[in-house]
Amino acid sequence: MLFNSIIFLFFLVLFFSIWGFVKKRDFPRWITLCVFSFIFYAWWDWRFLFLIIFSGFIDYLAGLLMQSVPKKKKLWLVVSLVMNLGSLSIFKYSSFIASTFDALFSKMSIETHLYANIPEFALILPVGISFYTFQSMSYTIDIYRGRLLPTKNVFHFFAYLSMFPQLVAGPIIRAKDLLKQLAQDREVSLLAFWHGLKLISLGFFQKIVLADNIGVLVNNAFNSPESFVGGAFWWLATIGFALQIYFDFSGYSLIARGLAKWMGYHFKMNFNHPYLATSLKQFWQRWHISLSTWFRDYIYIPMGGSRKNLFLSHLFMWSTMLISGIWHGAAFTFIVWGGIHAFFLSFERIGKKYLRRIPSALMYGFTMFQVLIAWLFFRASSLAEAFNIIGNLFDFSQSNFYWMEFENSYYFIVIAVVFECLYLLTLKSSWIRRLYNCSLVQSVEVAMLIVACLFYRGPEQAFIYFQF
Amino acid sequence: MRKGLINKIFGTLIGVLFLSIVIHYTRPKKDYSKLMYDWFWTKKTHFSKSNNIIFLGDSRTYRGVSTESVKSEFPNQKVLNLGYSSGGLNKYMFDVAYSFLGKKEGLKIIVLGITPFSLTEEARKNEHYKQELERPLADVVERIYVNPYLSFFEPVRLSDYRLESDRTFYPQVFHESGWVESYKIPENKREALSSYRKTFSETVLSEKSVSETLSFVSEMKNTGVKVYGFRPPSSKEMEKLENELSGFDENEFITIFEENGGVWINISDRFSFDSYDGSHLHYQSAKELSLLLAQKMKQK
Repeated sequence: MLFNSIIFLFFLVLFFSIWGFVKKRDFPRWITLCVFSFIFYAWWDWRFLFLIIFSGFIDYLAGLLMQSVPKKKKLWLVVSLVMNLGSLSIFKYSSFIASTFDALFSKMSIETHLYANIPEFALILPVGISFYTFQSMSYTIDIYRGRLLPTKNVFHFFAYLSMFPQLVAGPIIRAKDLLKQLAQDREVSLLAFWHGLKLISLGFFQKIVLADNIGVLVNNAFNSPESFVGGAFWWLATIGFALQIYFDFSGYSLIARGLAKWMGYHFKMNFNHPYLATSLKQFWQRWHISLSTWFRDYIYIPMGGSRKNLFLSHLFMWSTMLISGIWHGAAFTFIVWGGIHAFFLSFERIGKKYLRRIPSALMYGFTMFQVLIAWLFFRASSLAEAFNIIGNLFDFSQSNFYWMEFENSYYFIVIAVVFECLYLLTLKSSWIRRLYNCSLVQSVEVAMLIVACLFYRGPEQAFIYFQF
Repeated sequence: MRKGLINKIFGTLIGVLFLSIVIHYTRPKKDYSKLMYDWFWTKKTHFSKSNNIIFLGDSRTYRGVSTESVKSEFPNQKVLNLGYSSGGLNKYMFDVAYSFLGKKEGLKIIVLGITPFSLTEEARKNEHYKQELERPLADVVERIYVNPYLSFFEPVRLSDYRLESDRTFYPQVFHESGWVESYKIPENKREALSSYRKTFSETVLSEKSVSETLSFVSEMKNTGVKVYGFRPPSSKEMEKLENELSGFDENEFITIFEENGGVWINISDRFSFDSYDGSHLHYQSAKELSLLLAQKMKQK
């Protein structure tokens, strides 16, 4: 079920009309959350509901067993990790691994046909699998580390794991943050309701107005790149994609946070204006924060982080970024995307002393250049296509903007840039901050966001991060 | 604090109401409603069963045959235009058309709008029909039962606000019985030629489609369904181009069509109808053509 569909609106109305009655007591609260979350997920493909239930149940049991049989803690952790990473490997990576091996062996004139022998069910990527497996793993890892006590109630656990606002595209919520919240009846104040409304309307605006309208240009350009020529056009298409993916994903996260607020819960911020970053390090502190911190806490730091020598800290960072790349998708393009970020992060670390002297406007331009080039690999369907597009970026022999086709998208690119600049202005100017705190301005802002969603919505598109 | 928040929420509601009214009434005039477009194709595909007269073909049929005009000659009959974009005349679509006929006793007619394209390999894909057929149930429900009530909030493109004197206007009205009433300003009677030239360089007339059409005609004769055929008018240049590039021999086709039991409706003065792009009929001409077809069907 998509947030940006009418059916979800009905779903929400039904959920919140029941929620007020059931949220006071633990058991009905958890059951209701589980049932609605399962319906929400099953709407896409009910068969894969069993996968969440099965893998979640293993983690639930592993958590309990780690507590009751502490001597075999490690074994239960391994069982949980194998289960989660195993299902990820089967559903997300089997076709990539098989086709890579097929290609490799065929170069040696050996026909392996691994891809052809993959069972049909494993070729379907269950929506949100990367998100809920990571969320589930954080539960067992935290119990193993002694940072969390397992819950004894299976519905309490599944209410955490499958909570519908964040089930399919995050933010990845840690069990230690949400289980505690779910254990109580949390009052929804009028202020929380207002904040929820602001987050939801801003989220929908980002998704269905900005991302979906810009998406028309981006999808056309990247779906048939051979049809479009000219550096100017391709720079706009690349900037368009950077904005589309940001507003698409940030929009989803904001809606999830807003819905959680209406339910009485708090999810941490997932995006903090990443395109205002003046270094890649800053960018990663602002982009998909719940995933970046997950990788930091469960991969980078356990490897050794920056506690070891310089070479090893770079190596750990590279490994983390490459894993982050492959987490996003089973293709070499995503690995290269992670690699580009790792390369420039290394560059920033090594040249920190010198880079500090560069004016921030120049650093900003340099950071955005790196981010945009990396996005090309993220969006392109193959490495060859990405390199072709990079070639196009620097071909200024033609200045075709395809204005007739994409005029509308161009307007929304301008609006998206202005939108981010407005935020920058609120940071820089106390006068604007004061103005923004005025009740009337806030009401007008939310009203404008809602009306924009009603009238200026783009063609309906699924959230980009659903495919991860 | 509480009072302030209540004021904010009410202020927002009033703002939404006010801005919605302003935007709705100042919006640029659109060529057609996207919500009605979605409703139209979903309705045609999923909720248009039990008809007496069905017109089958491609876009020339769904734009060129006004079901309302046909109904004026067949007042008590249910008439459906089952044309689709790039719609093919082949067994797949014949089965669909047959299943859309009424099951009870009564008049049963299928009229085939025969264009060279509808008999090509490309048209055998029936992509438009299949796309509509395979739409998820939730989308179908939304398009039929929800979207028509949201027409007040029909999406606006920012680019539509820009006034253009040289813009092409392509108004379209979607009729429940399957006809799309359309015209273009300014008209360009050569507009469609290049795309058809390209199409026929990539696809060929399908012998299988021709033989399936003829089998269908003779099969229907035995089941009591009357099958008519006609060539939807376009423009002189288009017909010449289509005949040359596709190899479609109309006279030969008519002969075997009739031999198999079909009734051919000859439109003697086909080029007197007005086509706005060299392929599709202006809605006024569509009405005239449909009336003529209905009158001839009554006679034969």
